[in-house]
Amino acid sequence: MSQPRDDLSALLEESAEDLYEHAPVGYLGTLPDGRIVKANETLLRWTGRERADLLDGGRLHDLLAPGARIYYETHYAPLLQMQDEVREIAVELLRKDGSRLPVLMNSTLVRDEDGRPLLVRTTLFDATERRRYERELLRARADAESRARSALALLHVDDGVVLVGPSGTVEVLNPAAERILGVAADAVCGRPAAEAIESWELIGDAPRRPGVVPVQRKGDEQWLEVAAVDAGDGGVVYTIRDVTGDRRLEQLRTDVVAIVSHELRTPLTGVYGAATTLLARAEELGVEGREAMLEMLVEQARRLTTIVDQILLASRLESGNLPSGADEFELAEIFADFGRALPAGDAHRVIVDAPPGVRVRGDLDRLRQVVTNLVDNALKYSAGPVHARVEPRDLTARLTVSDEGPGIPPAEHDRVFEKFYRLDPDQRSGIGGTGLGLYVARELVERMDGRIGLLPRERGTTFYVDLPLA
Amino acid sequence: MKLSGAVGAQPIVFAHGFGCDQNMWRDVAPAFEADHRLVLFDHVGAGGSDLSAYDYRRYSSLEGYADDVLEICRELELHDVVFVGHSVSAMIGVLAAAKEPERFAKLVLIGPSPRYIDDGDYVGGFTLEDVEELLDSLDGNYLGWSTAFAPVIMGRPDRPELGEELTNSFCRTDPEIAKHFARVTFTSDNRDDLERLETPALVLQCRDDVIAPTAVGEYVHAHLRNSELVHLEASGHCPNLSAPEETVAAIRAFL
Repeated sequence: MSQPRDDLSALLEESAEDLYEHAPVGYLGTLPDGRIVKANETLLRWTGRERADLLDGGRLHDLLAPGARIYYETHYAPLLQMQDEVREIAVELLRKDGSRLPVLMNSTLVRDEDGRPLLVRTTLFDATERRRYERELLRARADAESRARSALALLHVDDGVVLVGPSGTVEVLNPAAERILGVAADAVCGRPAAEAIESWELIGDAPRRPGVVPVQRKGDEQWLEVAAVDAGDGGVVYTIRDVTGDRRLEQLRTDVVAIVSHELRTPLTGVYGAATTLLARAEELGVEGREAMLEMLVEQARRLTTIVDQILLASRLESGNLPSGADEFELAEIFADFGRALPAGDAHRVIVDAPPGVRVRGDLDRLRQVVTNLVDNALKYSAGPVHARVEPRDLTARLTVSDEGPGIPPAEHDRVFEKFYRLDPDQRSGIGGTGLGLYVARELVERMDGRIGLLPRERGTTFYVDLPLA
Repeated sequence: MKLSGAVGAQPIVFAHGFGCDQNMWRDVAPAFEADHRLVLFDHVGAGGSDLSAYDYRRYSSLEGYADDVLEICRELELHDVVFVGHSVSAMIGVLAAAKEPERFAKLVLIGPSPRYIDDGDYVGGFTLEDVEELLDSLDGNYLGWSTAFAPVIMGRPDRPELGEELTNSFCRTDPEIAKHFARVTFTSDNRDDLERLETPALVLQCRDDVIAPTAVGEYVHAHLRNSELVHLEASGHCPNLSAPEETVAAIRAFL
């Protein structure tokens, strides 16, 4: 009975040695300074070295690839000194033929009774497969990071970017595109662009005709500058910029030139005519005739001044460069000496009904400008009387200016306050104007925390201005 | 930053190298506690420093680190400073002392190298490819770091100080920062700066130091105007850990 047990223990003895030499793990014993004192067969086989090479003054460093050598000295060795144990550090071994073997290295520091380092036991695991897998992971991580960066750029860029796939469905739509096109990415992605985005038939034409296209966006006209590039897979990347503001500015410039040339020309012609007549025919005109000519000069010059003032005021309102006072005053004060601001021949048509005692808060001069503009307008559009009334209400004072003219269609009630808006754009009626009077009036009233608008009427027109009571 | 030692005594500033943090000095610094004021710190991006303070542009050369050293000296109003720099911090100390010589009394350079990459006749010990490989191994070990190190450190009930010391320290640093620091360190060339230094310096050279070979230590000694070279019995790149007594003795003798 004892015989087999001895055999078994001999076998175990032998296999412990055998295991050390041939286990699928590299074993290495080194002195604290790195000199190799023991190495197993597996390690020799892995690295293609002779035992004598390693044991005769060979050092652990010699087995490491240069990069790993630096890592070992700067990280591994200090760590081992500090905690007596290091595990699973990825390094590359250098085979004798110069090729590399990725391994995971583990070490234990053995100290003597006084705690001095005596020996380092190191095991090495072949990590070829693991390293390949980790490299894939690292590559995937780098890839994901770079994608995340691209997505970030898309998120913050000011231009709208829309990617439409080969089948015509929206695949990507950035926040700028959401804003410009007035859609939510969630709602349109995955749907055909033509169906999900209003006016896509115009935008989607960009690959053939890039440039600026006018589209309808919830009833408003919007100008978009669209460009398109091939995404490479049959899809198309559209970049979209909202140029409505630029377009409006451009339109404004054109309008200003047209208005200045037209509006200034009429009174200038009058001034010129009256002045030449006076010069050439002063004698034969007589006193009355000369007076009439001079009155005409004054009237046309007043008109010119009004127009130029209006343009200047509008431009100052636009730039925000208009200081405005906030005082308390009697509304009736507006009408003191009011006739002087009106055309000489029309002043008598204005009937003022302004009881004293209605006090408001605002800027008296600016408000007078508003009322002058309203009355001027009324005189222009009607031949009959123009009523200016003041009436106190609960919290506000209401000032109205009414005429018996042709009236303004209700659909136009909001638009009359737009800059350069005219009921009669072609000026066929012969009634001129800069198209700035009501724009200026609204801007000024709103700066005084007031409201301006039109009251519904069967015929004629009534503008109202509500101001906070003082 | 940790301050200890004798208040009012001559200050010693200990600066750790690449791959480590101020814990590298744990067996060296205490020996000077009785008669010096000790300043230990982690470079920004290493150890317990505030990683969010890491500015890739500021630290794109060793100058940025040297400026940090000067800032610490200014902040603590240190004068007559003994600067002890290990590895790359040896050169950081040279740059700092060349910039503000009046602040420094002596420099101790442990395993210094003004350039790690070979250049013509100059032998630094490495090639650019070696450095690229190092960056790769930093990448390769990033995956293992938190899982491999932390349990090892935590599972040492007999040395509880290690847990706190190391979980907060170099093994946990941001791998991108570590790579950046490695690139800046191993591609730096400060050979011309050696001659600008007037402060007396001690060069400690280990045997078999693969990071800063003996020839490099001798080069540093030859190009400094006022230096002493001491060859240590210790081998490797970290005598402050592997042979603290010998390191302490050499520094003491120099001071």
